[in-house]
Amino acid sequence: MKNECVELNELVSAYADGEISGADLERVEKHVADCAECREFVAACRRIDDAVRADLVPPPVEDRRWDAMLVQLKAAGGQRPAGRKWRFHPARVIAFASTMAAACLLGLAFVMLPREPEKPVEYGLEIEAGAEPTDYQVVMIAAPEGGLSMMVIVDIDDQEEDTEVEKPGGKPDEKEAGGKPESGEK
Amino acid sequence: MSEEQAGKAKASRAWSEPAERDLLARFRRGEEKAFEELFTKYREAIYAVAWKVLGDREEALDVVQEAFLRAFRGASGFRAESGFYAWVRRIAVNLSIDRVRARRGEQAPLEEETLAEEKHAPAAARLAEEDPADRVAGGELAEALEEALSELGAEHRTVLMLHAQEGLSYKEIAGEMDCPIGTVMSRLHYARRLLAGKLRRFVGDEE
Repeated sequence: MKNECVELNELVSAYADGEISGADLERVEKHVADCAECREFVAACRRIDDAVRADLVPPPVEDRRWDAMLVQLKAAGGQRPAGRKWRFHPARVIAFASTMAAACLLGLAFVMLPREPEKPVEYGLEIEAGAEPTDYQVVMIAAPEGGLSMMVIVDIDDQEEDTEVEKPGGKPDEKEAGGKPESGEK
Repeated sequence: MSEEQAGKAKASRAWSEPAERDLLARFRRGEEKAFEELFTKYREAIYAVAWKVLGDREEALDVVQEAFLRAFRGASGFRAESGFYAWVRRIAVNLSIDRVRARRGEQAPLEEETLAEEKHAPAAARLAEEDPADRVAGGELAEALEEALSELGAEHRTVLMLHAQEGLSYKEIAGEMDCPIGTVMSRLHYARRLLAGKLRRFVGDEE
């Protein structure tokens, strides 16, 4: 193999395929005319292509095999792979919209329906703290018209002192405790 | 491959333009009947492509099924510029190359360095290396060709097949395989060098 054969190398193949032009074409044409080995290779390239196209024939596939494949494709085609893009499904959209509408109606009803102004409510609760039981009173103050509610825990012993209840441990005066939530709490 | 032969190969797969356009529009809308028509029209050609890259019937059929399945599922995203056949062929080629690579595993394919060495070996020495027992009578070219092709890497075999079988130009192959035209030229040349050496008794003595 001559030096020029090595230099031209891939261009000889491209020449066989008619894929070169200009100066490259002129050079390869001249070389091939003078070089028997490259001339033979150009002819071989064409015969190889012909052989790949004509002689290399895949084994036949029976019609029933194709039919079975088509059935499988149709069945599998409907099953979308994971991670695919979201697609429009009318039934799903209707179900979602119905749920959202119902939730909105409930919320609206809760806000709009008339309610009686709430009065302060008081609850009594005895909480055991430490070794000695201590009486506490939990006072819930619910403001009317949906305002803020407040919970106050009042130590009954302190309250008794403040309100001068005569009998310690007895039932406290509930109205008195509820009337002044800011004072007396701990 | 001559331009005339390439043109015939392409024309054999083509419908009239309006018919094809209408069919593809139906296919994009997800019409099963349109898919069925496209499958029937192109299944053999896609199978031939896959088989020529893989060299195995069952694997080639698996690739055909997978390629059409992907086409079926991706119907809405199909763009008609390149045509349905070229689109599915590209899927099938990529699937086939992946399979050849997986099959070879760690074993490196016959690369260009090896082929370059072969290129420099004198023709007489190459002939001497051939086992006379392996020499078969005429009509066995296909078998010898298959054997020689099995020694090529998947990319080399694919380039050769796209050029010889499908009649694609270097530029079209470069687009199909996402590589530069120079790479196409190089792969095709080395694939032919190897085949010319292996099939010398079939293709080298006629001049």
